[in-house]
Amino acid sequence: VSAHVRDRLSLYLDGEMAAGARSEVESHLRGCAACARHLEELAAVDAAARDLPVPAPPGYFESLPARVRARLPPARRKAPPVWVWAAAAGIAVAALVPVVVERTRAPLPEPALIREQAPPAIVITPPATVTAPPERVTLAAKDLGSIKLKAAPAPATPAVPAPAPFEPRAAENAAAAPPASAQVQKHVGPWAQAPAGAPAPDSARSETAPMEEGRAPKQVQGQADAEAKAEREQDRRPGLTDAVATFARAPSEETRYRALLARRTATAAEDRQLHDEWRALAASSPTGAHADEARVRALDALLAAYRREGEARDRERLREEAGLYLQRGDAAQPDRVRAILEAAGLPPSLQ
Amino acid sequence: MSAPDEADGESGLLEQARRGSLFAFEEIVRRYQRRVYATAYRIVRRHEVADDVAQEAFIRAHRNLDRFDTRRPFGPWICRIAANLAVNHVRSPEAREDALPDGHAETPSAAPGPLQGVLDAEARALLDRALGELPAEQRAVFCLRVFEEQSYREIADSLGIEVGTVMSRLSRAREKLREALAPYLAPVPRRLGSQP
Repeated sequence: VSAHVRDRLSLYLDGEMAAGARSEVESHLRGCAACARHLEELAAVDAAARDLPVPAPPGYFESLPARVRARLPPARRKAPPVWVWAAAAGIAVAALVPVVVERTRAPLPEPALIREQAPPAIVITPPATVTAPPERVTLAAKDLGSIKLKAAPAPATPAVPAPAPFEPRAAENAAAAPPASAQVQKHVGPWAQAPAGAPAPDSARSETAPMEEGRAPKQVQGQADAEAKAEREQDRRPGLTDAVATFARAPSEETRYRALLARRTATAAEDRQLHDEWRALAASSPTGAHADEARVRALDALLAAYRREGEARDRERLREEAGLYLQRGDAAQPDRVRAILEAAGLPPSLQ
Repeated sequence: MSAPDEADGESGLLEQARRGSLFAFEEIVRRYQRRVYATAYRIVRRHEVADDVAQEAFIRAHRNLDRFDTRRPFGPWICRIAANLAVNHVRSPEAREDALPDGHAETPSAAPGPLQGVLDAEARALLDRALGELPAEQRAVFCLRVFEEQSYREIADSLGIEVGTVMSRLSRAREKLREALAPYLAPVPRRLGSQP
């Protein structure tokens, strides 16, 4: 009999052995009862391990999918390609932003020429053409190219935000409400997770100012303010404002829900506190997406408190609240609640 | 490996989930939750932690759905994510590998093993304890191989170790478990039908 092969039996058992080595082991096993039995024992260990149960509390698998879902972002959308952003920006500028620009009577020189010809002193002493009575014109879409170069008022910049690195929520917001105004930007900003220190409107103006060297800075700023005001007026349309307001409210309930989900308790008092907060969440949005889960979670917390201290009041409250839950027409998880009742030693049916 | 019922419409569900359907992903969770939880539980050995790991595994899978090839079975992928998270937890300083408190129900096992009827409660407890006493890395390799039936290469890739390391950890784990169960194992045919 060749040398024992025990150190290779695990590999052999898994079928991960090369053909030559496998033949060698099999040849040995035919002549060595000890190694053959060793192999049987290893296989038996695997089989016995597979037979071990995996403990889980009652009702656990009934609630897990909903709990996972509650932690997912509200919707997943792919980031649109760059050309979509570019097209959206163009459409937004052309259709949603009423741009009013001042033009001097004399035709303005080409932007490149302005930069070359403008003397440094122009910042202090505006050229005569700037002080002449302005003619206010509304540009058509075909003129927008020159607007971008010449006027580029600060509020127009947030009106057409550059595509940020894709964040599902940012993309979703962009899709849900056309980012056509500074007001939208104001609400969407925190969702889009703008980096700290992002330029405020004023600083944005100062960044665009160098493009305006043909005009006095104050004049440019006054024009920008006027345009921003006009945009804000546009944004006060009821539909858009309502949509933005609804949008802005959305995260708070979700945030509370997630915060409660992540909460860990160590004492019965903390369990009771958690119970109260779950109840408050359900009460604040009784038909919301998380209301049912919040009600059941509140019962879970009561059960935890009862298990920790065995207080009769917790059990009584659990009985009462579970009974109310089971009477609800919209109760989505009655089996889970019955399991909670059973775990507290209460009858599963409280009708 | 994915069971036939799991494979039914799986790629369609995954495609829907990719397009943003939370309902589709919830259905995926429903299909795989026991398997993912079991993978996590067998490594971390505590329900509370296994619950966290299972949830996190699904959330990470959802986040990375765009990178998943939907023509491949979802089960091994999600279980590898769960196993990785579980091993990371067990390695973390705050990990506590306490025994599960009494009072939990047990989910029935999937299939009877050859020692069914031989391993009484004592033997099961012995094996369970021995499994719990394995170093986490050995336990993870053992679980992925024995419960998930992953190849050495797959295990190595998912845990970020060499195939040779998989081989040695698995061999050591099996030897330790065999030693723990020795009173109940020798010799199998004679013990069938008799009490230990």
